[in-house]
Amino acid sequence: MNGTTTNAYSVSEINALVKETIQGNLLFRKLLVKGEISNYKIHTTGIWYFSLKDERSRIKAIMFVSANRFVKMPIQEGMSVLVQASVGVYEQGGEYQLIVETINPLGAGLLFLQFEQLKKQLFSEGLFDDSRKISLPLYPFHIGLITAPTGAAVQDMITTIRRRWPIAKITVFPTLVQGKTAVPQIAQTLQFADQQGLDVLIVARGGGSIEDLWAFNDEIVARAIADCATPIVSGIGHETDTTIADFVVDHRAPTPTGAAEMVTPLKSEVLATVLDFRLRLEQALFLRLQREQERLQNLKTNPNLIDPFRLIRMQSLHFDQLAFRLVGFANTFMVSKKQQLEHLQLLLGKNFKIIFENATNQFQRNVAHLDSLSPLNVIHRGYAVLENEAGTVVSELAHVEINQTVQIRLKDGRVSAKITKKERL
Amino acid sequence: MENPAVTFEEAMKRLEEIVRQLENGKVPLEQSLNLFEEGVRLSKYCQEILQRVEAHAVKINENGVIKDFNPTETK
Repeated sequence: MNGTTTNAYSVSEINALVKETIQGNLLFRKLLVKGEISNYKIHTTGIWYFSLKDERSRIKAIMFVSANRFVKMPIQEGMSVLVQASVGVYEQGGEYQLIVETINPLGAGLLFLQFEQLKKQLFSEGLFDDSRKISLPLYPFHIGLITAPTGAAVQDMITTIRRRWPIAKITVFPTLVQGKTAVPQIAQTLQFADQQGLDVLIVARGGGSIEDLWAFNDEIVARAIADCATPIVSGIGHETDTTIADFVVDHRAPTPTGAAEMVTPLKSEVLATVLDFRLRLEQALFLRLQREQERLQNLKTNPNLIDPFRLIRMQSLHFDQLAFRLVGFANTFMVSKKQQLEHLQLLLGKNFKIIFENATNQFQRNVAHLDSLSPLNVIHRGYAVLENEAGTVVSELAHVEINQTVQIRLKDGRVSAKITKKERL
Repeated sequence: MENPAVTFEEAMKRLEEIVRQLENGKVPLEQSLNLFEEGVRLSKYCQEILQRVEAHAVKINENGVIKDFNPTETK
């Protein structure tokens, strides 16, 4: 090139040319692209913006609402996907991007979807229910480890169990813990271990990537765990790793070591408890014997037991006192009544005399009075009583007639007389 | 054959129950003495068991063959 501007293209022209070239190419109209999702953002308008990348390169992508509203699966950073898209050119910016029509999980993304589905399925079957979970034995004497026979996980578990609870027998049931053939082997080993009549089982493996742990998300493994009659604890991967197995087991521990700690008590603590019981036994008995001793002592010094007749004597004395009082009371009563009687008699005597005297006086008065009213006295004084022949007393002029004979009573006899004259007063 | 895990757990439970009864003080004297004896026996038994130490872990392979488990093995 020689640097003159006559053959130079403008930016717009270049960009237009690029656009034409790309969009003219049938290939770019509709193609499938695979890659990992990166920088995923949902705009307020609902448009999805992200990049697709592989080990070396990346390309921007956009998915409009008309397309993205049909997408059912959750989109996550790092997910592997397969998209159907066209290549679009943004002329003014000199950029090109994928305009995505459909998007589907691929590889790990697919796995993730299967994981969610299985989880939902098993949950609805009730495999995760609390009511299914068996409680762990307090003092396990035989512990089974279903795990890889090599590696840190199994060594750590054995060390932990030895340290905390050396009484327990440990049996390792070796199995693969990752890879294709791991799934049936884990399931078989679980079944076998379950039949050995151990007190508790641990299914465990060390940390790793999601793919490494994937066997424990498998349905076959999950169901094998659910079928375990022996109490079973999981210790899979690191604390943040959760597999489906972790939901199905009776208890979940964050790591293999955590699982070993969960199933074992601390020997020193249990021993301390036993010794404490022993101490309390002795103290309780000692106190009890002391109490009985006191009771006995009290009985021994009880005055009524020492001298049993004492009670009787006391009662007897009391009785005498009461009798004495009773007699005293009776006497007093009698004396008082006697006095009353005498008093009444006296009164009666006195009264009688007075009454008699009064009566006598009264009689004499009556006699005197009667006497004064007696007609004989009247006659004594010179008055006479006139009677007619019949003997009836004449007291009025009407009672007599002239020449009638009348009787006259005098003090010492009677005379007869004839009426000669009547004269009214 | 008795399951040692079960008998130990039962022993601990029974021991606790005996302690409770004795501390309650409502048990007749003669029975208290019997309970005390039983309690002492149980506590000795539990202590004994706790002193046990299992020597080796073992592993069972798919054929049911039991071997001592040596963690440093690679297979």
